[in-house]
Amino acid sequence: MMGNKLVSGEKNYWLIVLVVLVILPFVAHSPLLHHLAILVFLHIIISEAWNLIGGYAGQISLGNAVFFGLGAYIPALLYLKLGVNLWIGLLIGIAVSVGLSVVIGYICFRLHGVFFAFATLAVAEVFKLIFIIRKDITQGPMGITLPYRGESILEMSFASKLPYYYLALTFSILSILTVYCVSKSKLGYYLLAIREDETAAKSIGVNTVFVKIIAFILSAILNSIAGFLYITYIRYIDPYVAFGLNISLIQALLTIMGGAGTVWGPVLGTLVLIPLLELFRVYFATLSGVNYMLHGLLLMVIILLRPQGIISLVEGFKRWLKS
Amino acid sequence: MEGVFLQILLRGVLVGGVYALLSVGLTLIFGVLDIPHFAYGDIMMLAMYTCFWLQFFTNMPLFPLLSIIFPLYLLVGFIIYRVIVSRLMEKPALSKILFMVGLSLFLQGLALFLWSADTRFVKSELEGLYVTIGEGKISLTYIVNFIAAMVFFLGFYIWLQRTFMGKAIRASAQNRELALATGINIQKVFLISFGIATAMSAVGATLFAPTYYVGPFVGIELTLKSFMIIVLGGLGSVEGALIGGLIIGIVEAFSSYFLSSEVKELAALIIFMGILLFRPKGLLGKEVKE
Repeated sequence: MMGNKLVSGEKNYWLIVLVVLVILPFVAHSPLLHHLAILVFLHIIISEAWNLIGGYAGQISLGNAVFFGLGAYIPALLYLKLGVNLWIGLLIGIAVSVGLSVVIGYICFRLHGVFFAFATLAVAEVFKLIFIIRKDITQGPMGITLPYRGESILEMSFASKLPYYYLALTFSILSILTVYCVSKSKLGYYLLAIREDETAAKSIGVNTVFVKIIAFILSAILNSIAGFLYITYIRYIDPYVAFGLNISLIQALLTIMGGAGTVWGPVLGTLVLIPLLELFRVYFATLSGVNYMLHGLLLMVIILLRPQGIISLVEGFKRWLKS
Repeated sequence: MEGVFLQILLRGVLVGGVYALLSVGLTLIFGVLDIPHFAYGDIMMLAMYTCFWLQFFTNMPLFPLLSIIFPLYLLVGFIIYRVIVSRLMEKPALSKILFMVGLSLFLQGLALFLWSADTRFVKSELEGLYVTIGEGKISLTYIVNFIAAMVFFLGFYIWLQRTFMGKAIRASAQNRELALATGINIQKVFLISFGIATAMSAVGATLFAPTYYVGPFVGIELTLKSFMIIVLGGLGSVEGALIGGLIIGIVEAFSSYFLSSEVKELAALIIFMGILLFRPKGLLGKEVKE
């Protein structure tokens, strides 16, 4: 009886959070707040994506930016060059990311630890170079800009931030649900087994490469959705941003900050860090490089001091409340 | 055609020799300390900037600069080991990777903050001088820097083979527990290895700088290049670094001649992926630690 009450209580609690998030933009009109919320939702998507592969499977991917970059570039280039609708571009971008994640996964998942990390970094570097070199198609290091074409959901161009807010909110909820479902499924347990001891997982019959590729596919899909949201919202991207180390690493940073290998860790990490980082970025806008330094420094400090993330503090607090 | 072929080959070998010196430090760090040094190239980037600014303020020629760079980066290596790396030794592999990537990002940001994203160039006093070989000519900078790199590489190799410290380092790389049991001061071995590796990479970066550019983001390219080279030659093998360096140098030379100079980095990366796919243990077939 107690158990049932607790579950239904928790459900109501989530419903309240959702309702608050839906009506929030109407209560608080500040565009800055809307912008911040969109950034938070966007980062929740990519950090949950990294969480699947880095948190659950324990494989440090430094190449997730590949899928983010393709998710941004493919719809934008198809739209600009061929006039393909952005939403169809999104689907094509996702399809390409899925195909590519299978290929990259097949090559890289036979490697372990450092070798996997280096190989994924090399893949991201390959894509960055390709997009810089093929100036005829991608406009090279100049990057691409999406023009404003009036209010239209088909063109994904809006003067107000609200449509982006709801889109990003929807996709971030989807990303959390994805990780939640994975964590409750066999796949999640397989991934955890791989993280703890890959050889042992293999010996009890887990097809480790296959399982890791499935997680990588999900991670790629989420990243390319985030890339799509990024390009349609910011309306500009260049190869250094799209395929840069920073995009791959911020996912890792947020996930570990919150708690890797948990459903809510990346959400917590994003909620704490992104507003802080954004404030910092705005404040030090004239000083380039400061945000890189901060990201790097935070990652180092967390790894040394609290590699389990903030969520371990929250759980400790919950336990303390119960006792 | 044959003349052209030989010329490209020579060009590749000249660059490859410098690459070998660039990457030999990483193989030492992997072999002895087992640290995934993702900030390896970023420290080389700092060395290149040091070079640039020393030249800028004192107008020193390149080779006397080495007498400052070597001891300076030996010290930098010692400090980084004491302050950072020694705290990491007992951490799990995943933490080590993420920590070192964090350091890399931090150093990139630091360079961007201090010196902006402008591309800068280190001068060589041999600029504009060429040696005519057959029908083509090769810049004297490449030849002299190759010779200097080989002198350092050979000196390092002999130091590892002949001195007591060198032997202790090789013993620790082969079997850490056994080395400890024979009374080798492993902490000292780690410290010296990291310092020497950093100094060698800084010298390599100094010799490489005149034929390249300096910018906040060259580090990641150099890290990847060094890693490719030592994987090609077999991780932890000093001779392997030489062979890997020559291979990458030659591949880049041919691809920049037949395709374009922009594609050369790409060609090396794609060959590297191919090697990972078909021969993950490196070309020399040495066992790669997992």
